[in-house]
Amino acid sequence: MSVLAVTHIKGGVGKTTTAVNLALLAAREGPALLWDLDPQGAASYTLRVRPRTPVGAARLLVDEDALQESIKATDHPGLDLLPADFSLRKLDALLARRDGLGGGLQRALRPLRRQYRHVLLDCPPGISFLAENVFDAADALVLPTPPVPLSLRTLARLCRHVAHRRGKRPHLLPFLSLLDRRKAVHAAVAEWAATHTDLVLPTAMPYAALVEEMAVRRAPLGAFAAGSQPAQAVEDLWAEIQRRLERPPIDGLLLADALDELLARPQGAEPRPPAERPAPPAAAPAAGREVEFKLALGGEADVAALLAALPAGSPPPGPAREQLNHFFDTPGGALRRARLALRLREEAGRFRLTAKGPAAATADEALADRPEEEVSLDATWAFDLLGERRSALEVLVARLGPRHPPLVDELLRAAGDRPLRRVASFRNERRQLGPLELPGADGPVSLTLELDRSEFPGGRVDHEVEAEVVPAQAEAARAALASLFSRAGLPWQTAPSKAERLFARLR
Amino acid sequence: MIALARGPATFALTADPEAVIDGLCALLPARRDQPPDEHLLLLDTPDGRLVAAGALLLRGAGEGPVEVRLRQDGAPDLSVLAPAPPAFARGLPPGELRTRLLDLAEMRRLLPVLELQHCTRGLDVLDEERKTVARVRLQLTSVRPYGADGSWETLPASLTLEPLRGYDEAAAAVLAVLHSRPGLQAEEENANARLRTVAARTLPPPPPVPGADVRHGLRADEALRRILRAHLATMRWNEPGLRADLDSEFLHDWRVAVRRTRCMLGQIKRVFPAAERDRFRTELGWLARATGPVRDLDVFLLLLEDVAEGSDSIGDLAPIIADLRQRHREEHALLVAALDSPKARDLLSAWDEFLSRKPGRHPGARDALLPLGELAAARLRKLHRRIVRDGESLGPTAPAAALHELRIAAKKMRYVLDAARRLFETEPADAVLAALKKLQSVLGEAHDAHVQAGLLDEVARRLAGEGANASVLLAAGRLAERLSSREAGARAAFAERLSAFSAPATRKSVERLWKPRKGGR
Repeated sequence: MSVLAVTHIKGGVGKTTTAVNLALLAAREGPALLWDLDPQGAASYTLRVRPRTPVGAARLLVDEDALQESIKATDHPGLDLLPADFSLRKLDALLARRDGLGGGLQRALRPLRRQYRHVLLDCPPGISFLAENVFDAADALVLPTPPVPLSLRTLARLCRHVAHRRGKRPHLLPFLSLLDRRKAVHAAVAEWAATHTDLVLPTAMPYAALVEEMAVRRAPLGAFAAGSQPAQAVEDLWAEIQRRLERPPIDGLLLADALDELLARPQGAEPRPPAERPAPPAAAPAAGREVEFKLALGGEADVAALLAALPAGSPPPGPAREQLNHFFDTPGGALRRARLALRLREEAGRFRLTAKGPAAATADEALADRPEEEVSLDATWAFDLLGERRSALEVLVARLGPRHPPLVDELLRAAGDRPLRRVASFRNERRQLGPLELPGADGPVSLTLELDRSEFPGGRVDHEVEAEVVPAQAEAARAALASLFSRAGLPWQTAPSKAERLFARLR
Repeated sequence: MIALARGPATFALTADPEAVIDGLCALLPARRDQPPDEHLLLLDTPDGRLVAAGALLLRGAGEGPVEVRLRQDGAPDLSVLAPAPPAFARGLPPGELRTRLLDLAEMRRLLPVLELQHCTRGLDVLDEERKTVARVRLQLTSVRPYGADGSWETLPASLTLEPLRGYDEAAAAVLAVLHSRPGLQAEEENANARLRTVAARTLPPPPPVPGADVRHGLRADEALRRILRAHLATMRWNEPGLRADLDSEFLHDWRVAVRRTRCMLGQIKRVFPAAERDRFRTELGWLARATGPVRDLDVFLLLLEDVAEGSDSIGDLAPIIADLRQRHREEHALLVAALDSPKARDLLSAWDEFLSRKPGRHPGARDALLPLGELAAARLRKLHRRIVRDGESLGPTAPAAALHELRIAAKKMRYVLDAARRLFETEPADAVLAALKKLQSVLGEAHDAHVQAGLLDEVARRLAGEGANASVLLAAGRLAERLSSREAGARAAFAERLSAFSAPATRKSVERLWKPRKGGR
């Protein structure tokens, strides 16, 4: 297992780019972790990870559970990330303490060494207590260095410091980054590096637009530009790092002297997509009441008989539409006891949340007359409901607004402060029949029927026909339907609501 | 909230898979993942070690560079691109997969067991950053035994929720959604387990465990016949792999079966008629000796491959390995010729017939009707005394031949103990076995190092005569030092191991092995 720290005193040298790209390659060999130690959080941003909860830098150093809880999988197999958090700005001060937090980075890394084949550290710029901790903890310092005097100068300084320090001296692995051979200074340094491959890794990372695209696409190079020249350079760099770790370390003092000598010479997007969560659509106007006939059919044979009894010229049934119906209630069934129902229906990618009240007493027991309120939801809301991230009643109220109908108040009263959860679901196949012109006593009655085939938990399958009517039409509709059933030789049998049948199956 | 146990959750499908995925896609913020359908092979060792360890090894069915995947419940899936289909774990590129597979498969050949047509449909569930927070994968797999032209068996479709580390809440929400689908049924057995079940029933059944059908109350000749029949079955099981030289373990297991057979014939003497006993013992010895050179070369080559892979550079071992491999090929051809000879065929046929005979009223051997456990325990007491006496007489510079003799005696004791173990008292048998194993380990180490040094000497001289360069000879020299050091280390540990073996506690355990049962003497 190796701990590689990507670091440099100067900022903007390509540390994060290097760390993220090397981490992807490391993950190919076995589980790898990238620890984003820079409060800027650039590595975390590139890998699309937000901190789960900001546990605080201090806890990360001393609390192994907090450390483990903070690790997140990335989109790239085998690569995990310990994301940055703004509290890391305090990390230096914490590590400077003489109590248990001092020297905490090496301690924090110990359990990670057992879990991961490689751990990479994306370090912030500067030379500080954090840097000293990194030098103690890391097996190697990977040092991206732009081929310009200021960067080379600080590299020399860093090498001297590491060479002279009392504690552990990790391998030094400097390489040229952001190399643009069109620039005279860059070309000269590159030429120098080519003759000093014992002190500087021969692989250089070019300055490339593709590299800048990493922050736009928010992915490592290997994920979107695997065959490109910069990606190949990263592969070469990784291979070179592995080889160098097997050999005696680069002499930091020799390197620093060589750099001083060099400096002494005279010198020439998948564009971000829109947010996934669209604005919720306006609530559909609530119907207020559902008035319908609900009649049981014995099975497929009864359905066929009914169809055969239709007047000549009637349209055939429409195509079957699959519906998934989910019912929500309190754990104790408070809504059901109050003869209320709250249902989410999925059909062809559309979602509707429907509240139903108790059926009013009617003269005709085949006619169900109940209050109903319905809103349409987008997938985000539906996921929140089915994913148990929001209460169905909360969503209904949110969609209907503060002036909601009395039915919603009834639901709120019945539920109290108990949460609503999905309690049961069933699948329904619905075919529309009509509009039909059915013979009636006073002339044809226009009706649209719904043929339903419902599959309940446990395997029971029911068939029924529904006909939603306006109250003024109810009598004529009943007569027309009764005549149809009679011609089909079918008994006139009222069907209980599907919710009642569903809960009966569950008892 | 539905509790999400660590690890994937699996569902069986009772609805149309595409409809299920379409429905989930409409509901979840997700990106579809539809990789190309795959034609894969499931590999395992000839003795099914991977399946037995709860692992699955899959590779692309092509012949060029192939992706190799290792799946094991409770561990992350691993994959690597291999330049060619791997015959052994060692042939894979360095990395976690190779390391794990070496632990599981060791030196055994990786053979295709099943052919798979595999289709995956999936959703990557995303958060607002378009970061994947959970994965839902639908797997549709058809399988058939490798090499069979028959029809495909379609495994039940399964859908798996793969949580991602650090995104437990998202996974719990997706799990709740999956539970809300009437076409999905949560189940314990995942797709990997189903595939392992199919693989396990496709792999050839292992040979019977010798002694598994031996019980108290059996007369010794019948009990011994049962044990020896199992050894013969082991020989037959391993013979095809041995002939094809698939890996070194076929020959090793075959030889062990022959050795155990000869040992029982030699140690439990008066159970079979003497003439037949001696005949088979002698002729099986001839057959075993025909395999000795190949086995020695197998062991040495395995050691050299380990050394060549080691991080410290020992020099150029390649010519030495190449020379030994050539010699291996020649010796293997001689071995196969010996197996094909009329003498070998007649021997094994006669042996099979002898072992199939029903026990008669007049068995023709003095101890045939006694309990095998009693005879074996008596033999073990004698062997223990002999090993202790002979071992204590050996000094630190004892010749290798003397240690080898002791090693043979220890093996005999081991074989007798293994054969009759079910008839012995458990606790003393375990104690004797533990002490014996430790002794055998150092004796084996010393012997192997000595034999390998001899082989190395031969090879080095030959290569030197052929003008091998200095780096090769230097490598041979360094290797010889290592072998010498190994032998010395083993000899140094010998005294301590012998001391434990000869301790009063071990002796008492040997005495307590056999306890007569009702109906026995």
